[in-house]
Formats: sequence, structure tokens, C-alpha cells
Amino acid sequence: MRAKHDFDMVMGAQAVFRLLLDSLANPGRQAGIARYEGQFKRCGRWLAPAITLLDNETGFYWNGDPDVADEICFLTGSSLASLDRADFVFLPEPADPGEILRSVKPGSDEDPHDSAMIIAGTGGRPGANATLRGPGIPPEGRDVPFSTAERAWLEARDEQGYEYPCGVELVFFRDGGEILSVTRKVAIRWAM
Amino acid sequence: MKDFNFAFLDEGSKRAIRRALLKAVAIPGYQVPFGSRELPIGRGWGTGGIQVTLAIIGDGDVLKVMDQGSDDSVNAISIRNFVMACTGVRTTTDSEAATLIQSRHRIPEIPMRNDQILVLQVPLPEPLRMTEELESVTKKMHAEMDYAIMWLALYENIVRVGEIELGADYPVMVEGRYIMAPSPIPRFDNPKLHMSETLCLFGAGREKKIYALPPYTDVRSLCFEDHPFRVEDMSGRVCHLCGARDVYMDEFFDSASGDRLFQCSDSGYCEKRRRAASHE
Repeated sequence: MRAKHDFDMVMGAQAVFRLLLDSLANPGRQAGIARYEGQFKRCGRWLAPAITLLDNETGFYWNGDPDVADEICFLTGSSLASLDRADFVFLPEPADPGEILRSVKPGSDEDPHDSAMIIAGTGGRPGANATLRGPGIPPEGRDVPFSTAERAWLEARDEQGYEYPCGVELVFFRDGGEILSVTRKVAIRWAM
Repeated sequence: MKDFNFAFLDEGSKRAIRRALLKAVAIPGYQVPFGSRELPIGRGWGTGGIQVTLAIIGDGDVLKVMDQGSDDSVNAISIRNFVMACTGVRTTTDSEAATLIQSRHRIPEIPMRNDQILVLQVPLPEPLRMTEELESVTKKMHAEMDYAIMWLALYENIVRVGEIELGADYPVMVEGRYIMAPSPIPRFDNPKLHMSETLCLFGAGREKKIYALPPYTDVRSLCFEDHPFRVEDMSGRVCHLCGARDVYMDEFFDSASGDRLFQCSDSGYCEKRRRAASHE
């Protein structure tokens, strides 16, 4: 019998989860996920976190190749969902941040955990530096260079004006196989 | 190892717990509900912490388990043996050598680092339960940040006995938003949570709640301007084994001599100090 992927569904998923946990616990700090790319025939950078996070209790939104969405459904038992119902929003293709953020679920004051996590591919030109402050970040702040696409996401998030504890988590997948997260409580100040 | 999945839990259970953990980290101090699983240990014996540990542990981790500071209590040994049996990870009693520390009722004396994770077992995750018994009401109180009844309870405590009587499990305010139960750690350990470099994960198996404090989170023990928070007074106490001062001590009474003895509550810390002293 030949395995369809080389990804270890137990130890690989554990390792990817720890990367995500570390990333969300330390917003603005990069974590490498590139090593899992080659463990799938294609789209490993998306399949690895999908397998780690999704199951039949979750719904996900996908704006990329429909065959990959089918693969995710097959591997996880999860199903595609509309933006306003999706627990996880995977965006391998460019998307309008404002439109996405207006549609996804931000949770409620009583159930802020019932909110979306947006995982967006954000390659492209270097944009601007910003200083992040908030939980997970040392008191002096964390200076992070963001691409233009990431800046668009973060500005759209601030424009959306979620009132904490409502909000969404943003996980950026960068071209070099790195992930970087910004959680809902993190404040962003752009360098002039 | 061959008879069950790595880290005992099935992958579906781990996935559900992991999702809850990520939300908990994103919303510090907020109690995320989760489907607490059955374990070969009765609820109330650390199953919340164990489930968190099993969901995050990997084969490269080095695990330390402590119970009220001790590595040698029945609870600590049983949990350590269980996790070892179903993961094969290395274990240690040295908090600095561990990557993952599961603890009941203490935070290690040596400050933890950013590359470590602390998992705390929680019997009663709801700090408002002392004033309100209905979960539906406390949930709404958290949503509306309506903590007046908590402040009133603390105030009445001061009026009645002159100070806030709470010992362990002294409530804290997280990021100015959520009142949180820090688990039954002594007040002595509360300040260690404030701006800690370490990710702290809290698991309540019986109550089916998970919550978290990411590194560098603002955590303030509740108090009033004219009644500041204070920790247990350990001044003048010296560990009879290692000579340590200014750490949290257990007190023993020698019935033969009538002497009171003090000993480091954190047995790993005490052992490390004694080992270092014997090498000098």
C-alpha cells in the first residue's frame, strides 16, 4: 500500500500545532513551516495546518484550487463553509481583506471563541515596519516588517473596529515558508 | 506504547483540545469550553492538565510534573508515569531542563523561559463561582465585564475581618478585561504570572474549560488602593535542607523536639541547590 502523503498525521500534526501555538502565543514572531511543504504532493503549506486543525466539527472557507479543497475535505472530514460560517478561512489566493473581514464571524461578547481564524498567503513586496504591543509581546514592543499585503490585512482589521474580546486571528503564510500571527488583542503602530 | 496512540488521546480529541488552546491563547483569561475526554484517571485528579499536556506534547519534549511543588507525591509520580508510558518522552525534576512542566498548585521557583510551557491543573476555573452559582449568569457577567459582585465580595471580606481572606486561587485581572482563577497556587506565586516569559495553559477537566496566559500578559491580583495585594510572608524562614530564603516554604512540626521546620515547597529547586552545594 502506498501512502498518499509523507506527512505523519500524529507526530507531524503535533509539530505543526506547536508551531501555530508558538506563533499565536508570540505574535509577530516568525516560525518556519517550510519543512512540511515537501511532505505533500502539492500545497503542503496549506494541507499541513488544515490536517492539524480541521475535522468534521469544523467548517472551512477556501479561495484556491477546488481540487485542494476536496483533498482537505477527504483528509480531515471537514466541509466547505461560507465565509460567515467558516471556523477557518484559508486564502491561498489574493483576497480583499475588507470584504473578508466584513463577512467572517468575529464571535460575540459571550462566546468570543466562536470566531474565525484567517490563514492568508501574503507574499509580495516589502511594505512597512510596525511595532506590535499586547499579550505575547515583550513590554518594549516587537518591531516587525510587514509586506504590502499584510499591511492591507492589518489596516482592514483595525478599520473593522472589532471590540475586544470579539475579533479574528490572522495567520500570514509568507513566501519563504514562514508563518506569522497577529492575535485580536495586539495593537499595531506603523513606523512613519 | 503499541497498545494505544501516541499521547493516549485519539487524534480527533487532540485536534479539538488544540483548537480550544489556540482560542484560549488568543483571548487571555477567557475560559474556552471543550469536550473533556475520559482518561484512566478520575476527574478531579488533574485530568484537565493531563489532557492539555497530552494534546501538546511531542517526542522531543522533556517533561516535569510537580504536585504542590513536589516531584515525589503520588499524584505527580502517577501522572509522570502515565505520560511517559504513552509518549516515551524524557522526564526531569529540574525545571530549567524541562520544556514542558505540568503542575498542580505551584509555579516553579526558578523563573521560566519563553521556550518553556507551563500547564496548570485547575479544579475550579470560574472565579465568580464564589458569588454566583449559575454558569449561564457568570458567563454573562464575563461578557459584560460585570464584576461588581466580585469586588463587593472582596470588600465585604475586608469589612468583616480586616483583609481579603483568600489564600490559594486568589483571583487576578487579565489584560484589564477578564477576572481569572490562577488555579490554587498560593498568593506567593501570583506575581510570577504577571509579564511571565512563559506560556501558561490552564486545564479544568471536570469543569470542561481551558484558558491561557500568553507570555508577557498583564496579570494583576485583585485588590483595593487602601488594601494592596500581599503575598504570604516567608521572611525569616530558612529551608532546613538547602538553606534557601525568600521562597515558598512548607512547614513541618517535629513532635519529639517541638521544633517548627521549614522546607522548600519546590522540591526540584531544593534538590538542585543541595546538589550544587555538594559539588562546591
